[in-house]
Amino acid sequence: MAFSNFSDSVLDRMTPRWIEFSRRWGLKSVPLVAGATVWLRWTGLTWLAFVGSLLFVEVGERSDLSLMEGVLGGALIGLAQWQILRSHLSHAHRWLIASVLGWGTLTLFHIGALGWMAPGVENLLFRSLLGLVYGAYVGAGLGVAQWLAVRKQVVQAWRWIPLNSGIWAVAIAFGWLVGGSLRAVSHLFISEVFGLMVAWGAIAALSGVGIVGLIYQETYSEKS
Amino acid sequence: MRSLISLLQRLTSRWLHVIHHSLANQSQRPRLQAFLSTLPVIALCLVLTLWSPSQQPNETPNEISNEISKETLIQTQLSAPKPAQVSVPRFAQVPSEIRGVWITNVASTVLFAPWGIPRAVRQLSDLQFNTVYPVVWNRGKTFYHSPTLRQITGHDIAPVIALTHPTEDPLVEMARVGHRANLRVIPWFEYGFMVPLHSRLAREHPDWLTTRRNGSQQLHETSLTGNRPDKHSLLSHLLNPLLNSGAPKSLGWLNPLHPEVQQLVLDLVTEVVSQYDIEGIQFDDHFSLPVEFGYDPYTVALYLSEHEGQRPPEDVADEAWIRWRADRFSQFVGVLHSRIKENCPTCLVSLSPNPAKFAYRFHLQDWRTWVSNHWIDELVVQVYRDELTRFEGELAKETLQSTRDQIPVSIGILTGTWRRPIPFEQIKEQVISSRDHHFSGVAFFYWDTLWSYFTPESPQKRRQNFRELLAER
Repeated sequence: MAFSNFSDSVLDRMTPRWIEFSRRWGLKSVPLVAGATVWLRWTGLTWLAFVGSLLFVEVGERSDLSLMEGVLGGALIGLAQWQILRSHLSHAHRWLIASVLGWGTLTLFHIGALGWMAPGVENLLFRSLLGLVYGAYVGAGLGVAQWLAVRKQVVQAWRWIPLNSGIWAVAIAFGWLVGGSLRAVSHLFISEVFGLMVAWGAIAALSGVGIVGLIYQETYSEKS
Repeated sequence: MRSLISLLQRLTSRWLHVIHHSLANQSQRPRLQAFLSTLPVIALCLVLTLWSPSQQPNETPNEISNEISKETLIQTQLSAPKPAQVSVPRFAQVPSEIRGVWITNVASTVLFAPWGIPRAVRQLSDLQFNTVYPVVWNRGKTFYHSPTLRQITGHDIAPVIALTHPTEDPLVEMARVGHRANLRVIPWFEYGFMVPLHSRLAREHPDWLTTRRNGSQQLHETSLTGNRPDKHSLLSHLLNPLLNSGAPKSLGWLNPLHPEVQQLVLDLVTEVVSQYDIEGIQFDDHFSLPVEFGYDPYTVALYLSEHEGQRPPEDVADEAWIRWRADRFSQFVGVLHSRIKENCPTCLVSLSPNPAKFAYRFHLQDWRTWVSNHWIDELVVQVYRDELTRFEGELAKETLQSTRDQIPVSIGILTGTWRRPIPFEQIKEQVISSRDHHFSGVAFFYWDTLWSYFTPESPQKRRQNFRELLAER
């Protein structure tokens, strides 16, 4: 079977489902190039912001990051994402503020350091489970802060909360799994940093998909 | 800090000027808006700059009590060091427990980041260290401004270090911030007589290099691993190019018996002890002549002249041949000691060799004789052993015990390398053992494996462990 025949059959099956999905969730048809550009920029900048934050924030094993470090890390991530959002949302600076306050608050409660933290256990299964739980928790917390920032502009913005929670759960679990596996081989803590870089890569890429959906769906102004 | 504040004031004044004129002129509004849009970024940069680890270490009562003269402050503003006054060192007395650390340029970021030195010193001081051994000589390059080396290689300092320290000599900075934090600063001639064969120094003076029996100038790969067994994991093999940190593959050895080589070392050492505000100078196991060397034309001619035309033995380990070379080398150590004391009477001469038997038989370092002749003021013996029984076995040897009665002797403890991470528990055992054997202190090799990402534990956990360990005394 030629590849074109195969791809045509797949597209024929997928298209009606995608249309139905878009209708149900109120998504606009996203121009491919524009959407891909936003996704690429979001993913790249978010990940680079995390890498840049490592110059100032030291990865630790427990939630022993200071409030200042949490705020700084959040500010760097928020700043990178604000760069993307400001050309699509009218009050994008709220996203930056939400990131700073969200990370700061979570750090204050000794859970926000998750993005710069490795678990203190070696067992890979236990690590993954911890990653799922803590990731979901922090993702939801950040999601709430960011939802507050965009809820007046984006229709059904509340969906960002469970989406972000799921993304963080999967990404942190995967990152901690990678970090733990590397550390078992190398016996160096730098492995955990690599694991977090993988986690942030996943967070950036997956949340990028979500943000493209968020940006290109109906806004309240368009609806009215 | 004053210059930073001044810079910020100038920037602020400039911004206010721009805003003032823009508000006064409607046509300038777009420019103003563009300018204002960058303010969050600028503000963040300012916060990062002020918050970054490059800021000065916090003043502590100890630091304040250790006053720094105006002359010293003025000196630190100069890019080139000026001749230091010979004065009584800040630490005329040896600390009650020596707690030292080596700071190198290999697999390390301290010297390559502008904030590296203040950050390292602040953390060391915070954890109650009292001595640093910063590298000043490595791979045929200096890490201070050396007019002597400029004449030979064209560079008075390692080029990358010159880039990262454009305004202040790194050794001046190390001494300045080190003394402020009550640390003894003892520059370390890490490479001793060892040089990469591709280095400018080796290429300019191939006649300065000594040779092996087969005529090769290249150091045998296993020559220096006697005291540093490296465990190679599969991962470390894969990561070798990174882990080697650009280490030269082919190393040669400057002939320590050659008069011109001796003059080079004397000149380099004189520069350091006479022009910098330091407590002493340190040499290590590379300040030696590996037993396989000594078959170069100069040494052979010298041997022939003293042995009625008889050539050196073919057996590199021949006892008399070892003794002859070691004695010639020891003569130079005596000259070097005199030169150091002439230029800086208060400077300590520190040596960090391998245990005596190994040092003599494999590196021709007869340091027992050097100690007996009062050429060495402080000894830091490298005891890089994993098993505690072997470690304690070295500490219990008669040579170390008797040397301990003559001069302060510390124990060099390996805290790990990128290839060979060492858990804190092992370090703790060795520190306690050194204390139990009544040595003067410990020195750790090296800074980047005390607490960093390149250790088995997290940096915070490692710092906490060191804090508790060093607070026990």
